[in-house]
Amino acid sequence: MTDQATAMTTLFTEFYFFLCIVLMFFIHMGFCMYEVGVARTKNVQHTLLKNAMAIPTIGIAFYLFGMWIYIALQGWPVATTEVSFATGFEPWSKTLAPNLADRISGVFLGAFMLFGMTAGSIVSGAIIERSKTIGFLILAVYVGAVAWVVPAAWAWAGNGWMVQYLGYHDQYCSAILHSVAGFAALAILINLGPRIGKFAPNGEPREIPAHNPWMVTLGLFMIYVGFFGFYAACHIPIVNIAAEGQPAYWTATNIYGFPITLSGVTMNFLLALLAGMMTAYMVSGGNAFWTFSGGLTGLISASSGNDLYHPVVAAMLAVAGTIFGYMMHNWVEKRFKLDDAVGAVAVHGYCGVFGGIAAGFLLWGYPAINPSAGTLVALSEGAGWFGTNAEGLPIITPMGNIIGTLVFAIGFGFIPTYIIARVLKAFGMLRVDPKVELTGLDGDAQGATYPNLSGAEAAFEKLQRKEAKT
Amino acid sequence: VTYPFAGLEVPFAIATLAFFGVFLAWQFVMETKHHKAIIGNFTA
Repeated sequence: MTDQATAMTTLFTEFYFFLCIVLMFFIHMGFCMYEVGVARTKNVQHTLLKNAMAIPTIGIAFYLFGMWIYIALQGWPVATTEVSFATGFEPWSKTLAPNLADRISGVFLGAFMLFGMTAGSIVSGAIIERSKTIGFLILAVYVGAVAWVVPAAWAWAGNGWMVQYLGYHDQYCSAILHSVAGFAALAILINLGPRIGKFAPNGEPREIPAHNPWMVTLGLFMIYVGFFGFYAACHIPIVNIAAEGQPAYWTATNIYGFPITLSGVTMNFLLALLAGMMTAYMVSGGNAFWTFSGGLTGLISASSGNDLYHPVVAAMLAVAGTIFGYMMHNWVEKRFKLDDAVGAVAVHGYCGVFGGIAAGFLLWGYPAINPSAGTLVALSEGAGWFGTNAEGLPIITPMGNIIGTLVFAIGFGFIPTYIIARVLKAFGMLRVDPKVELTGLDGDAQGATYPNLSGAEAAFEKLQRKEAKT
Repeated sequence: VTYPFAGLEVPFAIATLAFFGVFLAWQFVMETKHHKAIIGNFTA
């Protein structure tokens, strides 16, 4: 780079995504703490390692083929029937290495990799204390590196065919990622069954005590922190969006090339989070677990359009979505005897669908894309099946968002995951033996979790003193 | 110019994929072994 302005723009963008990746890692610290806190002492190490190993498993899978799916399938199969194997995101690509001609691809892939890890981790919490790690990891590869990625290619890119033709809008992935992961969790839970003793003989659900509520609290707070990074990573931080021949106009944009401000987005993020917490606190009667989960239900209920809403609109959406998610969770749990240990299906699945559909109504008529050379977004031939604006750009509509959201949640989240879980179940790779569940999945390593309480520490002290005397 | 082993990216990518497969196979074997041990020591 030979001029300073270009260098500053490029290096700022590079560092921006780098920081987003670091922030998003808090999501995984949070998920680990949250799940371990919810698990009983006899399952702590299994729960921790099941979740922790999803991080590298999904990450490597995403590097090998996930990002290629996102780039290669944006127009396929509607705008084009061709699929490129020269996208620059194949695992052997030179642009992913230290490369002085490309300073963005690596951090861009890194941010997407963290999105994928988040999708897989969402599933992890729902199925704790009775699932096999190998079965979960196979499912996590599908959810984290495929299931949400195809919807993202189609509907979370300015050139995605669903954006161009349906006017689909889901800026912070309520439906594209959260609903897919939530409904994938639902599909697994149906095949997995509840933990032994979760339901009384009369069918009433029982509370299985979390072994450490403080870890649950800190874990959820860390997830909040990580989601600041998640939101930020959904932007292009600085780009010239001027049309050809027009004066330059530098701004941050959403993923569709539409100008936005990080300032406004921050307000929407906070108002949705806070209104969700307050709502969940009330509807759950002050239950700590649901109160903190309410921050996420509020956020996810507003995330589809949180780039364009007013903060008070985001807050009211968070209230409505949180009530919807909470009521759905309780109804499904009692009616269908589903044991979702962390409420993942409600928080991500039901609220994700709510957010995706709500945006179609609230943003009805907004242009879905903003074509410009800077953002590499171009208008496709025949775009805007459900309507275009005066400039010929596809518009956001309820129909477009309803179709897209249901295709993602059911078509990519529920159905394929149900089939994979069914196959794993047939091979005995989904659920542990009841004897393992009753003993605890940590087996004879249980004593190492809290050695000061289990006697392991005292036993060593005894040995140490004995040897010191000889 | 715009890393070592340049030109061998594809073999390294295949090696990474193979390592990924080895990891999943290892997980399956070790988990099965772990659960068999628990079942063997099970008390009601």
